[in-house]
Amino acid sequence: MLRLALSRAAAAAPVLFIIVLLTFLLMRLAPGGPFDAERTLDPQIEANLRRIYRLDLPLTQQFWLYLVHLVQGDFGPSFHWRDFSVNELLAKALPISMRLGAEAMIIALTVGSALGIAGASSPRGIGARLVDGVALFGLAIPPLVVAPLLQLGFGLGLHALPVGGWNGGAWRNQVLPAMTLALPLTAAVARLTQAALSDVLSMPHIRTLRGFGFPSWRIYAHALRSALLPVLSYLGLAAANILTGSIIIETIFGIPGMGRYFIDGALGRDYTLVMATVIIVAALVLLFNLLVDLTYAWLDPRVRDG
Amino acid sequence: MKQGEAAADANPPSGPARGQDGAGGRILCFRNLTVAYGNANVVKGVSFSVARGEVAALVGESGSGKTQTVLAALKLLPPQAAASGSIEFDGVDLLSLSQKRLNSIRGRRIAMIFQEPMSALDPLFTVGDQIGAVLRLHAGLSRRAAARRTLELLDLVEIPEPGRRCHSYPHELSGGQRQRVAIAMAISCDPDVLIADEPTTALDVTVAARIFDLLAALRKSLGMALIFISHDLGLVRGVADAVHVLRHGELVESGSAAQVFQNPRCDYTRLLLTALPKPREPRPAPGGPEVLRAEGVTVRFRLRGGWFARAREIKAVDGASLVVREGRTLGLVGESGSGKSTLARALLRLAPLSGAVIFEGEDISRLGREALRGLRRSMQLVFQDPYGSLSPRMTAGDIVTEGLRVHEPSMSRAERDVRAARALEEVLIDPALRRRFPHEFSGGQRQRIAIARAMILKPRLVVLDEPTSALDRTVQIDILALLERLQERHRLAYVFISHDLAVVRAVADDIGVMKEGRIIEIGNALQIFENPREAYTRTLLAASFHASDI
Amino acid sequence: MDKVLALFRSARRAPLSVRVSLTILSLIAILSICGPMASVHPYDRVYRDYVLSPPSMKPHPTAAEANRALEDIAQRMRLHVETIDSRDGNIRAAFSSAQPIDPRALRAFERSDVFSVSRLVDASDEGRLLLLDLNLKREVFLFGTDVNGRDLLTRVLIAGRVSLSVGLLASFVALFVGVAYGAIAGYAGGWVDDLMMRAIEIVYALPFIFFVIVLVMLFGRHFALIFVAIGAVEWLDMARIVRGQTLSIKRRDYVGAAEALGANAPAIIWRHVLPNVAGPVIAYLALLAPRVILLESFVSFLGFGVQEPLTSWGVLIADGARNIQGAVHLLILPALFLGTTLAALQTLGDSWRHSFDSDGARADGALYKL
Repeated sequence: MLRLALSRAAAAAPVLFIIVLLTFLLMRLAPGGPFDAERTLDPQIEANLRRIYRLDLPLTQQFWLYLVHLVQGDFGPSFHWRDFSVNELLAKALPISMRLGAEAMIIALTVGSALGIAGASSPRGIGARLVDGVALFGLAIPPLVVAPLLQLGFGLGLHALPVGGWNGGAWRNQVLPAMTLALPLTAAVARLTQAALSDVLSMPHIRTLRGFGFPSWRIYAHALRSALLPVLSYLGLAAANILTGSIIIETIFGIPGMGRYFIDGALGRDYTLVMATVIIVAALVLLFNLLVDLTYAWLDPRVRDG
Repeated sequence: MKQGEAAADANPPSGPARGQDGAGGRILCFRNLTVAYGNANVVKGVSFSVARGEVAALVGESGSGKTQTVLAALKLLPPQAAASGSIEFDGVDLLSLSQKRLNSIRGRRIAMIFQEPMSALDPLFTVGDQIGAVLRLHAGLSRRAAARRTLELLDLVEIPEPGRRCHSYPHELSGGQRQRVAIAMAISCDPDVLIADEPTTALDVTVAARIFDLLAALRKSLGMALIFISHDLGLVRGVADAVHVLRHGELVESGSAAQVFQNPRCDYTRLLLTALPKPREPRPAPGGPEVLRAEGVTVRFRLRGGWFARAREIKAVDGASLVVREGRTLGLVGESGSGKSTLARALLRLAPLSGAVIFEGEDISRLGREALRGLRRSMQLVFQDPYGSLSPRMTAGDIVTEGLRVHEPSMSRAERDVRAARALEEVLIDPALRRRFPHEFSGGQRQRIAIARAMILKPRLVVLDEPTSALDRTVQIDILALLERLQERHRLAYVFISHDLAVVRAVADDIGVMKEGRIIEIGNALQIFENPREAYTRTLLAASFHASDI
Repeated sequence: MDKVLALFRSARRAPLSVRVSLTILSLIAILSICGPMASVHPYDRVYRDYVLSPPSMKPHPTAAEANRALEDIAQRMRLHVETIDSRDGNIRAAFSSAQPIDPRALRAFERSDVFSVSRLVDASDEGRLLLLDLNLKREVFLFGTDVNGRDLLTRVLIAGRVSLSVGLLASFVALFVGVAYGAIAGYAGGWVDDLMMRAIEIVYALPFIFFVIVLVMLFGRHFALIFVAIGAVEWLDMARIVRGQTLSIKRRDYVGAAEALGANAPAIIWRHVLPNVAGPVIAYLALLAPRVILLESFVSFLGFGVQEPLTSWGVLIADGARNIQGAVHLLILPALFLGTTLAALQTLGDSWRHSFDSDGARADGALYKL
């Protein structure tokens, strides 16, 4: 188990390094500099700025310096918000995004797997139809439609919940964004659970259990462990999807999370900020995949033994 | 008496076997059982009964409905199947029983062993847990008592080191051990009826023989009724008290073993009884030229290591030497993992090898890819699985002529079509069917198509890798006859690989016995069968012709 | 030709959901292609007088709109409206002014979106008092108009063109790159496979929208870039699927048989691997298309995609989201088109994928069992 963890972690490290290198090169080789927006910049001032941000050094040296700082957990100064470092900006934004993501994940897992179990237990009945409905709904009505509709219904119509803002993380502000973020994920988890569970239920070893007279609830409980595996391997992808979705949700609901900073950074050519978000997101996805792999191995002895 | 039986159920089996007191009475009665999938009936009005303590053999070829019959008894049919008629167990109709009462019978009074020991066990739980779960459910044992009893059971089914093995997961056990675990699970609650669905078919012959002996011994000591399902009538001779023969879902013959074997009423039964292919007539000593000679052929595979695991090397074939002459057949026998298929691929340069392979006087073991391509038309390969060896997206005609597209690229489409028709005709398939896709043919027909594909290039050497193993006995005999006719017509040299000694005896002039990558014995077929030199060969022979007369 | 006929025949045997989805998709595609050409309103024509009108079958202008427009124009021309007399589609209005009115200035009425022809009926008081006959235009906005007063129906259809073509083209980019990459990696195996898969892993660790936005940010907002950017990230799954399938097909005996016949690698990939991965690939393609369309709408929603006056469903939905309080139709109608398309594609893909899962070996060239 430890050996597996080490080897997976060792495999992830070069991936992360290459991502850092790629984003760095993309940013530096792109046409247009970070200060192009401010058109009439005095050459003297621009030269000063370039020196402050170390853009006057050779590329390799810049990269080396960036890497050295990165290893120490320092993402450098923001190009756009000149008085802040990227770390300061993200220290506020990251927890907000992570919290929303975690909430969405929990909703999706509980609601989705419950729906999936209902679907698998009545393959031609109401459960399966429910899953089909939710799945289609979750895909056909994407967050960018759901979010404004929820705002209209709960916020402007019922005046029950705020339509936007974070308000220091008050729960009323979190309900709508978390729900919106969770919807497509719930649909995916529901379908996956249903498919996996139906699959497992038709396997010979489940027939063995039935043949030995185990009651249905025990058979379901038993099958669920195997059915968990494909759902689990989907979660790595889901983490990436949540991060993508959070960009939309943070924009619509006006939440100061990672997604917002990423968009603002991209619009304002704030290279250090964009790089930091990309690297953090990539690292999170890799970390999540690693955790998923390890849990998988823990659950499935065949994988554990390699 | 009913009371006493219930009490006996709750206790682990000990003391005198229960089967004796009720001997003679019917325990399980199938009456007019029909199993339907939509409009198709796979079991058609089958009626027979099983007495207490009796061994009943249910025999039939694939698709005869034998498995469906017993699955219906435990209501294990898939949801789209419908069973009608009645199956009476100890006075109650199983088909109309409530789920709850059925569950108190399943596993406890009727237990089942399935064909595939790998997939019948849950891969995520240790075998000890799986047996223990049954004991706790039915015998009401505590976790600790169940664990103790599990060890006894594993010991009873002759698994070495049960204390260690009960913590193993199914994938850590060999096929035979898995089947032993399945048996331990089935006998754990001392059932009245044990159903064994081809329990030895997926196993190697020597392993199968031991499992078969174990089952017979356990039945004798525990005294339960045993329903033994098999496609091989010969296998059950000597153990079965009663034999029921199924064909296309209908019961064609039913009677005591003595009567069925001595004096079969039905033609089909007679066919099954004689279905063992006949040994090949010994032919004059080799005179023809050598087609293939292999000297010290070794095939190594490197198992790649991970970041923290070292790479390993295994020898799949270790120093094999053999000779095949024109118009003759060399049989290669061995159990799974003995390296016979790898050797076959190496002989055709389809696996990396060291050593020498001399084909028609030329050493081909060092030839480059391009030089080999020209030689490929003279050496061909036929695979075991007629379902996997034909591309599902090509028509029979396209499959048969693929070799022509490689070796005669200038040939026109029309001409290829003519050649396809001719090639199919030679293997006795209606050429009009050449536009059809593989799934529209039966297993035997598909194997004929595969043979036609190999023959269209007029090869000198054909390697046949278990060409009949996936087929029913009656179909096997046809395929073997076809192969023999083709050999005589085209003076072909065959390397015939099989785990089935009965089949090898029917085709081979010479035989090589393989074990753990080595050819341990090679020589004239007759001599090997009559007078084997190696102990392993003797075991193999004994296991293959177990319980059936040679 | 036979194959085309077989396709049609098999389509008739397809399940209801597949037939419905196919019908809906073709309908939306035909509407998107032909609709903007047939429409009387160009997609970028601004009707200043009809900003944010709700969806309706009734022709514009209504009496109130006509009066308002009349007064607006009169005010701009410093005219005083004396009387308004409207009868079936025409208005007779009397204007007065302090100075004599130049009749040519009255063309202003014809230049508006409301009036088609103006005719001077009578001029009196040396041109200070005019009596005009004004013919009303009749404009129907089935889906209403947007914030700029553009016809939403035409815009939704033109957006459909953009979204569908992005979906189609990016899917094809993904198809070709993914299938080629996957088949080569899977068939080659060994270190080539290792290297190629590691490369995929790297791109995989970046959620695709980040990648797309970084590309757009670096190379500017260009329509073609959307195709490339989306296609360039969406081939990854395809490549993985094809590689996995290829690995399993490579072990099949029919590939072994082809090798024994002496067929070379390109021939084996072409004759055996590709036809046998076609099933999962097509099923996945039907699932990829909605994802690509959705991704495009994401990118456009954020303002990185298609630029005005051209539009896509994502841009329209973003507009709708901004005006949710006053005009829900701006959100609902494009969302309806997007949602229906996504649902139809998803249903199609699911049904195809299902037929492979349950019966991978069958091949009768049927449409839904390709």
